[in-house]
Amino acid sequence: MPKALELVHISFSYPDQQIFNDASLEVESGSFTGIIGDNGAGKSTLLKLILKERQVTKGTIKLFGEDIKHFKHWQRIGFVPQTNFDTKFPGTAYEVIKNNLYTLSGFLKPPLKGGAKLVDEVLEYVGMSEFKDKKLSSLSGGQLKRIMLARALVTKPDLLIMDEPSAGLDRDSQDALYRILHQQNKEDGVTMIMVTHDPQDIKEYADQFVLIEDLKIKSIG
Amino acid sequence: MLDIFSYEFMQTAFIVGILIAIIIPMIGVVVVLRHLSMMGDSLSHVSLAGVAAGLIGGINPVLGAVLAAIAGALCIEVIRKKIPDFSEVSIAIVSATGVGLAGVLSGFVNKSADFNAFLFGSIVAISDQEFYAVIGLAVVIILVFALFWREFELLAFDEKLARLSGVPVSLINFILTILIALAVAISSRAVGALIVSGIMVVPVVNGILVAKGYKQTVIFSVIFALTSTVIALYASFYFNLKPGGTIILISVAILIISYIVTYFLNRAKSKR
Repeated sequence: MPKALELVHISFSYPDQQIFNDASLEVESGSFTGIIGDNGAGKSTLLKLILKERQVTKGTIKLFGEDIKHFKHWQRIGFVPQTNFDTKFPGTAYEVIKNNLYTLSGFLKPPLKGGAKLVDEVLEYVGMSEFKDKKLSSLSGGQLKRIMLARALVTKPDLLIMDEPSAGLDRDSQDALYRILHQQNKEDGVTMIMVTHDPQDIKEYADQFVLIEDLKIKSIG
Repeated sequence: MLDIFSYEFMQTAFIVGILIAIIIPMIGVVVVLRHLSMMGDSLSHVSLAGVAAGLIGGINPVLGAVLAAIAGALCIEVIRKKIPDFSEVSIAIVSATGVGLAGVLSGFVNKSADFNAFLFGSIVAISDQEFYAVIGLAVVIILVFALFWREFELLAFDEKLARLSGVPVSLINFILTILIALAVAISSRAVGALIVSGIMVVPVVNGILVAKGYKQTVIFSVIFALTSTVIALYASFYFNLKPGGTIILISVAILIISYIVTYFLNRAKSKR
């Protein structure tokens, strides 16, 4: 089975700062990887490179064995952002999750049949059915994170990439979130890559931690 | 109440007004949610330069407005990409250029009344040619908006997440830009270049305030714009008011009423 993610000797710089120099990383399919590092070390930049928002200056990034330059199967990738999207968007939780089904149908294709059922199922899975018709702006931070997780899971991805999904949540909300992630990882075999500030939180779930430091990505067990 | 429709020019005004009240807020929802509220304002200024150029060059001023607005919209996109960290200044630069050009060119327009008709609009003096142009372009805009409904919704939510969902973001941004330019240009003749951007924003703010979802926001925004337009056309006929200005004043009045009603409803709800 090809590796879910491979970074092969990548380098990347912003105009005023180098972030990676000849850095490499391998993530096995079905594993749970925690990414840690100081502020500004390059954790979020790494996600941007994987998600093709930025391009490496050297090296190759592969998703499921395929160079991301030619990768077409983005429906296999789920992404849970930090809450840096516009929470004032007037859409309901249902609408925001449903619009991600676009990933499965695509440009100028008719909407997926049975989409409503998929959304209902995923809302129930993350325990948010009763908030289905609530606007995003009326949800708490924890509820918003679960909706964004549901949005990512509704397409049934093989790889879930998360940017500090538990930041700002209380302990109960964090535990609820981690239980869902653990279940997805162990029972459904979804590969997890999570940027986190606090490795202690996911110590019992993660298979490996990598540290971004000194322009490299170091495996620390 | 219905004798107003015995005048052909009022029938035309109602048809044109209703079409504009559908297309402008419909696009306005995406514009407002993408924080591009000033874009309509900017393009309406640029369209005035096109009107003046059209009047000087002897071509249809509405066509001049359409071409100028499309050119202005494309310039905004180009400048936005060149300076992404200060993307909002692209709107200011194009707006200033539009006003400057319109100001200079208007000095060469022989019939200043024709040019002034585009400043505050003249919905009751629409020619047959302009009437059919508005109908044709409005139908095109509605069809394109319906065709790309999901893409616009994703773009309005978050551009980065839209890209990850597979939306061809550059193409959809381009289509949106052209739609805004077309809508602003064809509306400026009827309701006025100085007023059209208000119709793109005020009913939408009202829609966001009362709606419970994205789809509802689009529907309510159109309903509020339609209500303002119909009331304004009646008022302008019976009280001899300028229709364009009256539409926007009624829109603002409805927004204020909505705010007050929503405030008291929320207060009553929180006390329960």
